[in-house]
Amino acid sequence: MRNSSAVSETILATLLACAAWSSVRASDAAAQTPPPAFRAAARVESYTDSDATQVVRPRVSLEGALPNEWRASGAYTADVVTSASIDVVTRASQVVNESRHEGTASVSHGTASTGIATLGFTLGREPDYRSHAGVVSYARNLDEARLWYLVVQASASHGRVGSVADQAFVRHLYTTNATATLTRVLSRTRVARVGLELSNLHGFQSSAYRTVRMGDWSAYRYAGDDPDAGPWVFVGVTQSARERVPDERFRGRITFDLVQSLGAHASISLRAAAYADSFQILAGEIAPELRVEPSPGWLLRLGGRVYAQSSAWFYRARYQDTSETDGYVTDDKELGRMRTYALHAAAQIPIGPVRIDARVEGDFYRYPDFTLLPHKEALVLVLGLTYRR
Amino acid sequence: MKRFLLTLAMLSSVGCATVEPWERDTLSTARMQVDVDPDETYLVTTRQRVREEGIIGTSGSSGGSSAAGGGCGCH
Repeated sequence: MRNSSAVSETILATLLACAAWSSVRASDAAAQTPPPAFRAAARVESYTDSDATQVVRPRVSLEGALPNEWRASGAYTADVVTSASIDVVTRASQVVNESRHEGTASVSHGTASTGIATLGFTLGREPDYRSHAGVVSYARNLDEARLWYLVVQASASHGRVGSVADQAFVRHLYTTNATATLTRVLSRTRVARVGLELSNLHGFQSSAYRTVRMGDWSAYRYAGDDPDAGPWVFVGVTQSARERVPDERFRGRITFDLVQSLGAHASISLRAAAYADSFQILAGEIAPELRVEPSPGWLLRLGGRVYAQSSAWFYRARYQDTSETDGYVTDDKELGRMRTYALHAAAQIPIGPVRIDARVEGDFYRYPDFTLLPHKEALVLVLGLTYRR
Repeated sequence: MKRFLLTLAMLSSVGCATVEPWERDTLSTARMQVDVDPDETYLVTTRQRVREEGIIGTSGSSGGSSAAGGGCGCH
């Protein structure tokens, strides 16, 4: 029930399904390594945070070669959420259980040398939201020496936003997106990639559920024994208004990746990214990772990530009335200032024809402008199996 | 214009020696991939980006309206 945000996630999933494949192809193309004839993978991600939220995300994906340079791939992902988050309990005083289902399929034709054209489609569904997205992409080596590899993509999606509280409530959101990545083999031990992503969201981007408190309010935790009372008591609320954010949003993102070999068994990767949008959110991230490959098939990784963003121009920790921000008001902490710090360790362990994938990650979120939840911490575990031949 | 193109050509070739096909063993290893695992990339990137850049900003959240559930926005 993430409403229109799930449109973004749906189109993101479609893009990633093709982009991840293309990025693997980029290195394969440079190294002249053929893609796998068949690949099957299963993953389960478990997310638990200090804000009483648990998310389990199973995912399966298949990819295979067909005759005459055709390939096909598909993936299914589910999100199963149980939450008594502050985002939930201040509204409904109850635990929310919800699930989201998403399927992606794509076909492609060609080789890295002649050009690979891909067509993909994604469907997403949850109780108050449906979306579908389509993507086309083209990728190829730009030179005979296979030093340059270009991937361009375009996609569009439509989301139908509903409300479980009001069956008559229907809104729409349309998203268009264009992405280009250019991979460059800089030497036999160094690869770099730059990427540009531009997108536009047009339509309903507010929440069907959220209202925003006005005035110089304060809050404290309820200590009584009334079972119908919420966990928070608010004082000084002068009025409330339905959340409203602009219907038009343009977004841009630039990424830079560098992978450098360190001797015979190790390498280091570095990702840097910058983001800006018409809500006037500016963001940046940097993510280094050390990789060790003690023997073929084994891969151990240790990395970190720092992310920081500014707030949307209409975001306020306290609104006095709706006029101060042209009628736009929100109580969404992810539209305010935030920082994320993350550490992770991961391993790939081959056992016969199968590979075991494991990852553990600690996330530290900071929301300096959000009174009810200035910070939260999360633990993420990923376990998986991959078969490839 | 000619000077600009010359500068661009020089910049694009900085640190970019020709790499022959038989010199690409290291490039083909798992540790040299930009995205090591496409399925992990999918899970990690979608999780990060729905929490950041306000992408999840359109989901349900606090406010005190509907008691019928809906609009988690909690992850």
